[in-house]
Amino acid sequence: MKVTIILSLLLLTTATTATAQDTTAAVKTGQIHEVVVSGAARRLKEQVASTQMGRTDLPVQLLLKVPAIGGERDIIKALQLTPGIKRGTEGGIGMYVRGGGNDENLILLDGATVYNAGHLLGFFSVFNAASLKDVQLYKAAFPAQYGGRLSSVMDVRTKDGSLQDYKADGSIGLIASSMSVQGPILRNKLSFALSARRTYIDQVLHYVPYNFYDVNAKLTCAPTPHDRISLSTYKGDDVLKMATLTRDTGTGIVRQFRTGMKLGNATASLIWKHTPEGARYSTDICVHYSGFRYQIAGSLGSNALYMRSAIRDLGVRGDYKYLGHERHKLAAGFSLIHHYFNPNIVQTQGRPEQEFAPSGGRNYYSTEAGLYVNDDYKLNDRWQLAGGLRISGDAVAQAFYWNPEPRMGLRYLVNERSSVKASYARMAQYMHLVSSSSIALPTDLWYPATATIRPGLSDQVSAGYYYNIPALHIGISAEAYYKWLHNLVEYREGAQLILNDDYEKELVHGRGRTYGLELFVSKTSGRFTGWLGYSLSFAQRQFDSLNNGERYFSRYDRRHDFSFVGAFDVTPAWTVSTAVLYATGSPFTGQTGQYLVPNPGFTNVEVLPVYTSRNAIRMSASFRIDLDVQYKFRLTEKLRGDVHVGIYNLLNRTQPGRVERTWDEGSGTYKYQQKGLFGAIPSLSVHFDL
Amino acid sequence: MTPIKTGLSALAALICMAGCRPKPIDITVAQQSPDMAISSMAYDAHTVFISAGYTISSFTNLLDTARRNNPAGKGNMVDSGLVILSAPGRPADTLQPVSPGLYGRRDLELQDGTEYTLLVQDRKRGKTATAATRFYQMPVVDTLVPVVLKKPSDTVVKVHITIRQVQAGNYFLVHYTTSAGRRPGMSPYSMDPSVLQSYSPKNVELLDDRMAAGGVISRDIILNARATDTLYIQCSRIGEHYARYLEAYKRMGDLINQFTGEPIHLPTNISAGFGYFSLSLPVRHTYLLKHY
Repeated sequence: MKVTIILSLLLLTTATTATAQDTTAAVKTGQIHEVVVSGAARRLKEQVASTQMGRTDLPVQLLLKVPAIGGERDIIKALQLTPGIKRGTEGGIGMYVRGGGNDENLILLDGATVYNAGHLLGFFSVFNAASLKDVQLYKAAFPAQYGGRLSSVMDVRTKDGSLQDYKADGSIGLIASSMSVQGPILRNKLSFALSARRTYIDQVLHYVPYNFYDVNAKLTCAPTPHDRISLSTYKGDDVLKMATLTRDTGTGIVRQFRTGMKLGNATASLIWKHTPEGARYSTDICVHYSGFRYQIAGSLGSNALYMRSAIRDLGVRGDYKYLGHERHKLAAGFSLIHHYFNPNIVQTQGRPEQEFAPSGGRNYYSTEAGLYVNDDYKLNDRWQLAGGLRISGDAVAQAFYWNPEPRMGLRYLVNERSSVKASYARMAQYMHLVSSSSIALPTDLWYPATATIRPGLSDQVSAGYYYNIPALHIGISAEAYYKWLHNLVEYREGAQLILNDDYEKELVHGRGRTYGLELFVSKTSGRFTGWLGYSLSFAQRQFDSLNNGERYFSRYDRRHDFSFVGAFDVTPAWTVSTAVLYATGSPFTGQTGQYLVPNPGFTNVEVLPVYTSRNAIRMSASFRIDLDVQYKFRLTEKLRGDVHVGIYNLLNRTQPGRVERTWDEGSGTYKYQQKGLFGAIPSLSVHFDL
Repeated sequence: MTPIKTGLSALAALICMAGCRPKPIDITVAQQSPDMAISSMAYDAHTVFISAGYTISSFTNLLDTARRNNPAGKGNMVDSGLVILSAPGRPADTLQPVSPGLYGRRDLELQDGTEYTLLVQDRKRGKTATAATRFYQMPVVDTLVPVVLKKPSDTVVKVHITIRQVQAGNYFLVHYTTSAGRRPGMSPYSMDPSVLQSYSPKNVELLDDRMAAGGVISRDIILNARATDTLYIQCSRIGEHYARYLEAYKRMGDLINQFTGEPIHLPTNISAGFGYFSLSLPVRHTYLLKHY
C-alpha cells in the first residue's frame, strides 16, 4: 500500500509538470504514427505475399511495450510471448523454439554470434533496449543465408547513429540504468551511436557484490550514396567480487575468503553494404568477431582455485542479391568462421591441488564454412516458389563433416489478403552447449562437434495460412509444423561437468521429434497494438542410454500455451499495456518411493530414492498477468520522457518451476509442493529523450 | 550515503518488501506399490549376508522413530522370507534369518568366478525377487596405507593403494568408513535414521584396468576424513555391471547434481526390485589416522 501511495505521488507530480506539453507531444506522436503505419502495412503485405513463413517480425517498439520484470525491457522476454517459443525458468531468457533446446538458437548481433545472451544467470538479456533497431526471429523456412543452429535464428540489428542530428536518450530503472547518445561526426557522412547500461545495486547496497554492464558502440559511414559501412561493437560483463574474513571453528585461525566471477561477451562486426545505381543488385560483406569467456576465482587463506573458459570466433560472410529480373530474386553467398574453444583451464594452490590437477584445458579449433544459393521464383500471379541450397561443413581435428541443407518454400496467393504456404528446411549445428542445468550457469560451455560428437541435424516441414485485414492493421496466421531432430546431445544422468576437461565421456547421442500448431493474431499499428498467440505443441526425445531407451517429453514440453499482449494509448500521454499468459505445466521426474539398504561396504545403512521415468509427471499450469502504465511527458522543448509503473505477476500466483518435498504438520507426512521464483513485483522506471 | 543513494536504497527496500512470494501449490505424486530392495555382502568365502526390505512411500518420514510402525523398522523388512543361494551343479543353500530383513549363512563354499543366483521369496506378501552375480575373490592388494598431509591451514587425508595382477576388464571398489561418519557404538540397524542421507557424498572410489600400467594400479585417493579419525577401508574386485551401478550411486552424492541435474536412476540386477546383488571378498584394513 505504501508503495502504491509513493508511486501515485510520483506520477501525480510528473503529470502536473507535463500537462502544458501535451499538445506538442501529440503532434510528435502523430508524426511517429505515420512511420509506424507504413512499416505496419509493409509487414502485413509481406506476411501474405512472401514465401517466408515461421518468422516473427514485430516492431521493436511494440516488443518493448511488453510489461517487463523489474521494469527492465527485454526483447527476448517479449519474443517468448509469441507462439512457438517456450519460456524456460521463470523470468529467464531461455528460448525453446518449436521443441528445440536453448542451445539451438543462433543469436546474431549485427551479424556477430552472441554465445551467452544473458546477464544475472540468464534473467536479463544482453540486449540493451536503447540500442535496438530491428529484430527478426525465424522458427522455420530459414533463409539459406542462415545456418549453424537447429531451431531458430534471431537476427538483432542495432541503431545507426543519425547522420544529421544529435540525440540522446536514457532510462533509470530499479535494476539498471542506461544512456545512449548518437549523432554525426561528419554531417551526412559519418555518425556514431553509443549506448551503455549498468546495474548499480552494488553502489547503493554495498553488501551486494554484483553488477553487470554492457556497452554498444557503432560507427556508420556513408561515403557515397551507394555505400554504407558500419562498425558495430558490443562488450558486456557480469562481475561478482567479494571478500570476507572467516574463523575456522576447529583451529580458531582467521583466514580471508575471497571469491570472484567475471563472465561476458564481446562482439564486433564490420559491414559494408553496396547498392549500385539502379539497384539491380546489392552486396553485403561482413567481417565479425565474437568472444565469450568466464573466470571464476576463489581463495581461502593459502588455498586457491581459478577456472577459466573461453570461446572465440573470427568470421567473414558475403551476400549477393540480384534483383534485376522480374520473376527471379536471386541470392548467393558464403560464410567462413574459425572457432577457438578453450574450456576449463584450472589453476590450483593448496588443498585444491590435491583434488583438481592444474590443467591448461584442451584447445579445440574448428572451421565452419557455408555456401548458399537461393532463388525466389514467381511462377505466376498466384504461385511463388523459393528454392535454396546451403552446403555447410565443419573441419575439426580428426574429423570433417559436411551437410547439404536444402530449403524450400511455396506460396499460393488466394487473394490480395490471404495466402497458403508450405516449406521445408534442413539445418546443421556443429557445436553444442555443455550444461547440466536448466538455468544458465556461468559454467555452461560451448563444445565443438568432434570425431565422436557428431553435428546435430534438423528437418522441419511446415504449412500455414495467412490472412490480413489492412484497414485494421491486423495480421492473422496459422502454422502447423513437424520437426525431426537428429544427433542431439544430452548428458548422462549425474554427468559431472564442472572441472571436467573430458566432456565427451559424459555426452550421449539421441533424437527428437516435435510437432504442433500455432495461431497468431497481431496488430502493429493504431491506438491499440499487441497480439494474441496460441500454440499446441509436443516435444519428445529418445536416447538409447536414457530412460531405458524409451521416448520421453522434453523439459519444456508444454501442451497449450496462450499469450495475449496489448498496449492501448488511452490518451496521447497515457498508455496501458498488459500481458496475459497461460501455459500447461512442464514435465518433471518425480520421486515415487524410497528404500533403506546397507551401503556398499555394509558399514552403514542409507536411504535411496525411487523415481518415475524421465519427465513422467507434469506440474500445474501457470497463469500470469503483467501490467504496465506509461505516462509520456515533455519537460522542455527538446526534453521528453515517460514514466513506467508496472507490476509483474499482478495476481501474485505461483508460476510452478520446481517441485520440493516439504513436511506437512497436519498429516504428519511429507508432501510435494510446486514453487516458483517470483511473486508480484512492482517496478518503476523513467525514460527520457533529448 | 548521499541523499540520492539513501532515497534509492529506501525505494529498493520498499519494493523488495512489497514483492511477496505466493503460496506454493500442492501436487500429487502417485507413489508406487512396495517392491523388494535387496543388497548383499560376502564376509569371507564361507559367509554371505543378504538384506531384504521393501520400498516405502516417499511421503514417509524416516526420522519418525517414535511411531509404532517405524518405517525403518520391521514392517518394511522381509521378515518371513525364503532366501536361497544357488550355483550351477551345486545344491542350493538356504540362508537363515539373522534379524528382521537380514539373512546369512556361514558354511558356504564360494568359488571364484562362479555365478550365483539369489532367490528371495516373501512368504507373507507372496512377492519374489531374483538376481544373479559372479563371486570374486580378494584382489591382490600390495599397498593400502593412509597418508596424512598436515599443512598450517589445512589437512589432507589420502590413501595410497597398489593393486597387482590387474587384467583387462577388471574393476575394483574401494569403500571406506570413518569414525566421524558413523555413529559410534551403534549397530547399523538400530541407529537413528536421521543420519541416513542418500545425497551425502559417497565414500566410494572405483578403479579399473584402464588405470593400470604393466598390470599394476597405483593410486592416491583423497578421503573425506579427519586426521583424528579411525579409518576402515575395504577393497574388492567387482563386475562391470556393479561398477556401473556404483558409478551412478557415487554421482548421486555429488553436491552439484542435487541442485542442477536430472535425478539419477540407479541400475539394478534385481528382477522386480531395487538394490544390487553382488558377491566380492574384500581386503579390509583399519587405521588410527592419528598415527600417520
